[in-house]
Amino acid sequence: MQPGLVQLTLTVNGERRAVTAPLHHTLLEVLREELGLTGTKHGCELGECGTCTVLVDGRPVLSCLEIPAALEGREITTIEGMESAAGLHPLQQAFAELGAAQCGYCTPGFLLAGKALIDEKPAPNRAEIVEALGGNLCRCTGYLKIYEAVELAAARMRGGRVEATPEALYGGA
Amino acid sequence: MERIEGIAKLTGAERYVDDLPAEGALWGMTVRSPAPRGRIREVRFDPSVDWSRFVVVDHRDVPGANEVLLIEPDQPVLATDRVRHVHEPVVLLAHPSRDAVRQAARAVEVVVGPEEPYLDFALPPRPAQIQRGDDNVMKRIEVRKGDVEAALARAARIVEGEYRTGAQEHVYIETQGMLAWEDAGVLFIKGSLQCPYYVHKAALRALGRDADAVRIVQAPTGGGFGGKEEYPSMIGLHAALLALKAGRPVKIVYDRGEDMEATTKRHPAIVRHRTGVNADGRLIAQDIDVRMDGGAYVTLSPVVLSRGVIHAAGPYSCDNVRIVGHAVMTNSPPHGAFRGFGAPQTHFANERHMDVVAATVGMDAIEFRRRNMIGDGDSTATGQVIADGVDRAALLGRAVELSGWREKEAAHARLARSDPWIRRGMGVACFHHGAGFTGGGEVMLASRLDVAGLPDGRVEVRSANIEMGQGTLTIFTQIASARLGLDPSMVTIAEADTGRVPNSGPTVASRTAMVVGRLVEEACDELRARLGLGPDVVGDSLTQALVRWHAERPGAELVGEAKYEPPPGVRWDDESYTGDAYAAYGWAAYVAEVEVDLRTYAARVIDFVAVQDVGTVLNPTLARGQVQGGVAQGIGWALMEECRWKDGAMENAELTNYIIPTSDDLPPLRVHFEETPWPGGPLGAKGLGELPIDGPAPAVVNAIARAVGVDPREIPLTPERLMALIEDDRARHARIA
Amino acid sequence: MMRLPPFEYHAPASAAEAVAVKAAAAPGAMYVAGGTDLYPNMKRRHQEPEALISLHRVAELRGIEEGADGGLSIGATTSLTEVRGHPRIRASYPALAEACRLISTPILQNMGTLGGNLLLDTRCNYYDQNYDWRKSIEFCMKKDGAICWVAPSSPRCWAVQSADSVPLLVAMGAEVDLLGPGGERRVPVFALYRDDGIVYLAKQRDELLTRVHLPAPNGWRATYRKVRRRGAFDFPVLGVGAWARFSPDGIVEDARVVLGGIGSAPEVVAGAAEALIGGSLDDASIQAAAQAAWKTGRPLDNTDFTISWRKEMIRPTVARALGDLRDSR
Repeated sequence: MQPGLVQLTLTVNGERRAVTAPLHHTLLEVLREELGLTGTKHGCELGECGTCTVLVDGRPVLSCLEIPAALEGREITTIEGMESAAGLHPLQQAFAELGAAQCGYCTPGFLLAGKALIDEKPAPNRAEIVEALGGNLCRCTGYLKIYEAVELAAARMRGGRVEATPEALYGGA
Repeated sequence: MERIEGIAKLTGAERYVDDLPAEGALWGMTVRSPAPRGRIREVRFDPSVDWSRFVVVDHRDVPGANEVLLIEPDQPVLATDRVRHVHEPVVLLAHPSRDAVRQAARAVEVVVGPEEPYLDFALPPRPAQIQRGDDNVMKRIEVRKGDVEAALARAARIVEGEYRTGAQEHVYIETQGMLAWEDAGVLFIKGSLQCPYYVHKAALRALGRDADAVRIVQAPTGGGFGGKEEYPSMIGLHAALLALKAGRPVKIVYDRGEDMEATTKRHPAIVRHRTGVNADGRLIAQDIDVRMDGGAYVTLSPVVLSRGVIHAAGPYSCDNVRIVGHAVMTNSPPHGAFRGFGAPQTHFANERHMDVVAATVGMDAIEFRRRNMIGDGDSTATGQVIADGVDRAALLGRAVELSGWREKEAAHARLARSDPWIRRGMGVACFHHGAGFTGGGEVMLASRLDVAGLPDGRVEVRSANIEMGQGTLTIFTQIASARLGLDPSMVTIAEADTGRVPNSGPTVASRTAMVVGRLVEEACDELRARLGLGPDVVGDSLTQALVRWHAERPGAELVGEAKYEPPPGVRWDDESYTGDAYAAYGWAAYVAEVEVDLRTYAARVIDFVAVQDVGTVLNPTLARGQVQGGVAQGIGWALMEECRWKDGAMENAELTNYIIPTSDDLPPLRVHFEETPWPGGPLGAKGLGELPIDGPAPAVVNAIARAVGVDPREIPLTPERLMALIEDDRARHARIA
Repeated sequence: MMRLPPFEYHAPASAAEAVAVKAAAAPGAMYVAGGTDLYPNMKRRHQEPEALISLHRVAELRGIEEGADGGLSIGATTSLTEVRGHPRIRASYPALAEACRLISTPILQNMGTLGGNLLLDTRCNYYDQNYDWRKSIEFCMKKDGAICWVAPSSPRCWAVQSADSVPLLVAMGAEVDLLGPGGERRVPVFALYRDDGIVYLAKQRDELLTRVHLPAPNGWRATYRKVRRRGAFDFPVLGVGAWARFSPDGIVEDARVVLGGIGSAPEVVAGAAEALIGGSLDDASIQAAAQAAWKTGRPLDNTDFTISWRKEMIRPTVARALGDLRDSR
């Protein structure tokens, strides 16, 4: 293929999307610029922050370092695809309840990385959560509320009614 | 109550500036100075590029005064004939293609005839480096209380110390960006920003426009921390100049490297203490010298220095205090607002020094602090009498207790005997942070805020204070809802658009909840008064009254207005720097537990307890988030965040080498609030945003000092610095042995 | 957006086709697997290949198989996540699982491949910078320039080998297959590297790294220790791979200690092996080996953090690695 425009068929959030884009544009750029899916944010574009995380076949990857031409036939999930007809994903719900999103800019990446973790390990312990989210930088929260949200969502997805218990707040909650 | 805009942020629906659609927009790029100081000899445009395809703007295209108006008019929008720091903007380019404009920016060369830059603010400038007055000092401040020299003369002990803190980059995850366009003669500038009216004021001056011909609109902002206080005026003006020349919308979004290299950082500081203590371990004299690197232009340095100086003596009672501060002009990119605004630097020095003094006089660090803690009825360095009912010694006691200090210290001592490599230690810091603008600042701001009653019975809060993750939208909703007895769904917050909202001041200085939140209450009262209703009319009755009012007056506006009035009895004298520097202070005691590996010299914070009293906590979830986030930034600043400079330019402008804490680098951040309501604030609240970044660095470094028995004086306390300290210590012991 | 420079794109379906495409392509063409090293470097304009030959369709390069000799054979484009999670690797080659766990972040491990890590570009403070920064100081010799800013009088480039898997695989005596237009050859991992920051690979231009072969896991132990500042993301300040083969009575028959993050190639510390062989991996021999490594390792001032601290890390890290070998007995 020569440099220039390519026609691709990408499967994004369960939908097959035909797209014409410059070959050398990354998945991040194509999602945002050609497909209008601006929920995927960018923080460094060099693989150093995790902000642009999306899922490919259920695994978190950095969209700033993926070439769409290599992703035909694979399932791409962005933040826009996390909600279902039934409503918010339990992790989105837990983020809302526990205040795990502050400025919100790193949040899509954390949600997708967190979802992939819970899908793989339904009962992740704290160390596993810390490691799984090690590739996503947040500057607002100090990460604690994000861990608690993953734990709460995972507990709910395992079944049963679980209430949020922010462990790190003494009184006043 | 959950975050108002939470769902939009959790579903990808929130549109930040780079997400905003802009029909027919061009992309803007900035060509910058390669040199820290010199005359611009030439700007070379590569002749192989067809420049007619680009919009090109330089200083000659600035229609008004070529100034980014803030405190002083010294900073140009675009350099004219000289540059004063690396990455200073010189030329702007715009083009429909994001790829093409980036390529083109590399085809423009700014040729600078170099002059000798002044880059190390620790040294006095040489004559060839003088660029302002006769010493490059841009602001000097002096605070005097009692007679320091006389007190030092009678002190049982005098303890001196010098402490240094480095620049810190904000690393808001959303880089800076602005979109500008003109519509029917009105220029719109929309983007990631904290202070719409700062951009507005700067735009009127530089673009020579009338107030109603410019509208500034805040887009959802992906973190600010002070970094989007002043620099957005620069980017906004750049986008506007390109848009006006192009006759089309122009968007500028910085990439991470450009953002780190060109925008502001926390001021580097050197603080010297000379402290007199009497035989009972009481402070009788604090002689403090504060020197800050302001960078190449004045920007906010005088007020950063002011806040740093006023907090420099810490939350202690001392009858004789002298604090002299200097902000110095250098040829670094201008240093600017960063959460804490000068106070983290002086609190680091003071709280590290308190441990040094306590150790020198042979007192326990906690007891020494307790004995000197300011009590109600005592006065601060500026002579402000504190009387807010907060039991500050109790905060310290609570932090010590929650941290398990005594038991842990015993365990640490056992560990030191049994493990050859691992050392642990506890450290504490006590500190305070004034909420709102300093001194007469709030009076000068004269903030105004409206609460409108809408025809459908809802109320709309109209303020210029913005949401950047800290919770403004939620807090204002809570305050209005509580004041009017309305369900939160009946309260909306207007977009921060200078065309629609009055100037309630900037979103800075821990002032939004406390100062502006109080205006929300007052405007709610005023709205009710305009309906002719008493304060007992709330909820549905109020809603019905609103609907009725509008039904009787179709098309009319019903607005309750509030204007800032200082709390009664507050007095400040800017000449003598005496009086009530802040209407209210938040108070805190933080305890860190660290672990040091003597093989790698790496220090890790393994537990952290943050106890504070900021009046009534309006929203525990948001408040906890503010504290945890501030502590995380403080730990980063203490241990790893370091701007490396080379010839006046930041050398490590990437997230691989300017490193901030990852999920694996932070301890549990345990947060506790004591709540002593403050009657001047909405529902009894004080400001909170900045307080949490003042304490972590000294608490962590004090803990490291206790863990390994060295005396660090500078942050970030990287493994290299700690290695040098430990090796010096070993060498000293070897000599003694 | 920091666009990639434009390139021609090929997606061959087999290794042989990939090599043929490469041989026929412009001289600057490059293979790409995970892209986690190449794409950032292309965005910084370190590499501007006219053509990219993506290996994502080449199924034969992925997966982990038993080797004929009782060892294991790992396809070069197997993701680091798959390597670290593979039951056989976790059981028999835990050091490799650990080295992969320590590479960057879990997300980048999903994308990055073992072959890609072996071929990671060398790093240097004067090189790992954006285009405009490199231009402002005058380009260095590794890309676009003629000088080495680390050692301006030097005729060579001193950029640093910074891949976590490399010191370990060298220490283990692993081998790789290289498929070229003239056929396939197998070389020790050690022989893949040259002590030059620019031409840091001994691989021929069109050769494709296809598989990594791990020796059968009998009678030896290996470990990897990494020094980094944070719990994630960071390249190694220092990486130490250590390997030893023991006699039935616990005497070290053979040993290798390899340093990464110091020079342009992984550094095998001969003096460390000498200190260990014939002994029982006691404290004294460990200290002697660590001392030998400390003497050998001479970092230059070209990565993050000061030379003195980086050098000081060698002794304790080697000692800890050798302690791992002793303790895992």
